[in-house]
Amino acid sequence: MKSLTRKEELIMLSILNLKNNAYLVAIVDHLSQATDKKVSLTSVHLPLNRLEKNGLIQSAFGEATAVRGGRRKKIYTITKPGFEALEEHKRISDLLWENYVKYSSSKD
Amino acid sequence: MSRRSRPLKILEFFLKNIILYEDQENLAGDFEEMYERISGKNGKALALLWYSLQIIKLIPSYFKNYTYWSLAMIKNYLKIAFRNLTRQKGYSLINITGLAVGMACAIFILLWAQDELNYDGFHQNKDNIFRVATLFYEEGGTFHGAQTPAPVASFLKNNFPEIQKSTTVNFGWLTGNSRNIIKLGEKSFYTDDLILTDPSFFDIFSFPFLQGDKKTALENPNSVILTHSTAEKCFGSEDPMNKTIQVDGNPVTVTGVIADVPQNSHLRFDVVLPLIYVRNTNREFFLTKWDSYGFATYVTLQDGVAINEINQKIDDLIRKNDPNFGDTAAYIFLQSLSKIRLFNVDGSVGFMRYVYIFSTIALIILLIACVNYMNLSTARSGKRAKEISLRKVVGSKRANIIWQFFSESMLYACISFLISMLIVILLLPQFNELTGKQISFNSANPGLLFGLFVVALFTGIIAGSYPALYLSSFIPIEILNKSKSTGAKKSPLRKILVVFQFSLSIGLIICMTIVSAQVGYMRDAEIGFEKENVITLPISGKIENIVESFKNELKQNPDIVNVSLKSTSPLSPGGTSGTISWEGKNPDLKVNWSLPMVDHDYFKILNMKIVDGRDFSREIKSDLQEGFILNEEAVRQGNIQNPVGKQITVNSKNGIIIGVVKNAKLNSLRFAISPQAYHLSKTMGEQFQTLFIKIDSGEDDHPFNTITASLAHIERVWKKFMPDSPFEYRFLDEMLENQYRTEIRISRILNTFTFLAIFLSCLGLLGLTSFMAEQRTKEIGVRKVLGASITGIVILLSKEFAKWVLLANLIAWPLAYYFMSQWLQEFSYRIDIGIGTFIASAVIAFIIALLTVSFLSIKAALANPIESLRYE
Repeated sequence: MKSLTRKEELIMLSILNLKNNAYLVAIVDHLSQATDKKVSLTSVHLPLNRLEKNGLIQSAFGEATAVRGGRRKKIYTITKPGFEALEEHKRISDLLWENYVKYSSSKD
Repeated sequence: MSRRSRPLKILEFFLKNIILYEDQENLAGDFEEMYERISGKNGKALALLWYSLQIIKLIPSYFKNYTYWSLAMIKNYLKIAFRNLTRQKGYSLINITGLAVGMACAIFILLWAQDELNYDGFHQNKDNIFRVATLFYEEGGTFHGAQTPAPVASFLKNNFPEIQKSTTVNFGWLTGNSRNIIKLGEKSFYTDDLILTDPSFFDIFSFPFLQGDKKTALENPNSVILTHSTAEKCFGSEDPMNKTIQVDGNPVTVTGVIADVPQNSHLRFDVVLPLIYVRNTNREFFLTKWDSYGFATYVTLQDGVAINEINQKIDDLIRKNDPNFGDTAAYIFLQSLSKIRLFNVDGSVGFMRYVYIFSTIALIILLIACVNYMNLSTARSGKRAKEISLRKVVGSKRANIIWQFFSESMLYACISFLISMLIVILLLPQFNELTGKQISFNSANPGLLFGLFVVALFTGIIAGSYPALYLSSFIPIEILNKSKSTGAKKSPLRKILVVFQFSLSIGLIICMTIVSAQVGYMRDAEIGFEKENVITLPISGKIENIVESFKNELKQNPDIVNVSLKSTSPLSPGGTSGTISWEGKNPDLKVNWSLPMVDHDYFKILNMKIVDGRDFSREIKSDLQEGFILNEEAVRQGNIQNPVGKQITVNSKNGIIIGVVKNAKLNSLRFAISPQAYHLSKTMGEQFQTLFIKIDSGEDDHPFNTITASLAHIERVWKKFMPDSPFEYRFLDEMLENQYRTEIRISRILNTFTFLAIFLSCLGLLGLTSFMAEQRTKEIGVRKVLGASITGIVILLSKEFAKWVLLANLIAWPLAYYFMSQWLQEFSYRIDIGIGTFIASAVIAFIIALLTVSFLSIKAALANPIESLRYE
């Protein structure tokens, strides 16, 4: 299985965090808050489509809100292969992070 | 809650339309949410900017998606179209044959029209070449001519700064002979295409020199320029330059060889002499004579000179310069080179008419083929109704269905186009023979390629238009609801199309009949003389002393009935007069008569009837100097009462009118007969140019043998008296026939295309009938079971078509009548359009339609009802 990119990892984690309200704008907001950087719609939309095509996430139309001019949201959720991919990703990361020691200047 | 700010409606609309359909709702929502947030935080302007930027960013992907899906659909449309094409092979064959034949016709006529429109198009400065034309005022109206007096060219050049270059061309008569003998050693032959001109001719026209220098080639009076093929005829592979040949016995030196004159040039020649060739002869004075209209003058203008402006300045030039300006009043004006071929000198539509007519016919044939396609596609719509409905149910819009049927008709058009190109390439030699042209298929010509593209596109669009609109209008619920297909319901437009098709065919039949009748009339008309068994030979005037012994020796053969001489070429009425007057002439009357010089036997040899007075007689010596015989036309135009015995003065020569002869229509009947005054002696330096010999083959069982034997005798005598002239005779009736070459050709082309139009109409009718019969199989079965007779069923099936064909006549008749009476106006002698032609054409069309229809309806009527009802 292809390993996840950093961006994909972040997006999938955001979807998990946002629970039942994971739609495009919410994910963008969530990521900008977490990273404290400006995140553009495009940079999220494309990986989202890719993930959906690969079957790691799925989408369904949510309820309409007045804020959106009465348009429905497309809510994303993680699929079973998605969870598996995330777990695999985490396993590798943890393994590699195990011996990490925090940088300290006194060490020199 | 504060008022929500929303992006501009127009932007919203844009956004919605460029997002992929499946993403439309949520993405538009996402963008709007972001917009609102930015507008709340950073202000509305920035939000708008952001929103617009998003739209711009989306455009490339929009186009990518659009193209991708369109192509995918077109692929599907073509696949379905192809399946339909192979499933119903009969209909597809009719459709493709029809369209291919129609397109081939259109392409042929396109090639032909392009060739006509490019006449004289090979000259480098073709847009700046003008011919000087003349306008005469005379009794009975105006008359236009394409030739001027010789001095006009140099006068224009010297006196008008607007004129850049000018040249004079004489088409050979200046040499004193109607045909010229080219002689080199033992080889000798006649040329009809000799011209005399000045050096600037080659500055104005682009006839490239293969050898020699165009500036000096005509400087010497004894120089000659040959075309490549004439040079080859004389010298074979030898170098012709600076060699000497004889023209009518005068030695001249070859100073140049030019490429052969292209086929689409109105100037045709193979030998070029300088005008000064005639210096020191008794014809030199023509070069300075202001009242002899026998020279073509061409000029080029300086940059920026308007043609109207210069026309106004030069129009009375001849009037000012001609010292003897008398009976004729001539004005001159410029006519552009591009109009010489297709328009008359007076600017009216000449040959261009045929370009229009044939383009229209090509369009008609193409339309008939398109109508076939429309009819068959809509008639078969029952078979497609379910497909269309299903497409609509799963989301096709009407536009998609329209696209589908256009791509289908385009597929047919493309296949047909390829076949039609094959037809064109294969049949081009036959077409060239039919039209007398040398068209070759030059695929590098951008105009032609564009034309072909237009033909294919036009066919696809016209053929597909009605099916696309009609079939896309189906309402799915109606069609899917019913167990039976209803697509083939009666469509009034289909009837109208059949009527339209047959109107065009009937119209063409009428035109074809009338054109053939006119051509036949001209070939067989009462022409006022006997043309059979008369041969003509060109002679030069130098034989005057030996002419009597020459004639006598010819007559020694009992089969040679008579021999006569005339001062013009065989069919020409002869040059026009200077001044003519007679007793009791109205002094205001302007006349322009031809004055052929003949001998005593001329009227006898052609068996022309003397209607008043008497023929020339050898017994009455005064006839030789004073006798004049007018033709009926001269008497009519001159309004001469009791002409016989009246005094007449021709070019200051006094005489008496001794007789009136019936009009002899030597010229094409397209032209009115010219008034003529025949006489026996010179009035203005004429020479005999043509020898007429009548051979008797009357009661012989083998006329061919008699003629062959007589010709052998004539040749022997000819060789004895005129050893320097080649023996090249022509039969008078063949020469007359040759005058109608154009008309005969036009008639043949029209016949061919009419036949094709009828063929295509019948093809369509056949398809439609077979479809109708198929639709009514059960009905016919039931009728037969209940006791209907075969005849009854055939009538039932044919009745409707018969009605349509009859209706088509009502449309075709007035149109054909209008166009044909216009066309006949061109001919001075023409047939009357009788109602018989119309009725005959209607009957022919009716019978053809009936045969086509009954072929299938009889088949349907004969079918065993058990077969058709078995599956109930």
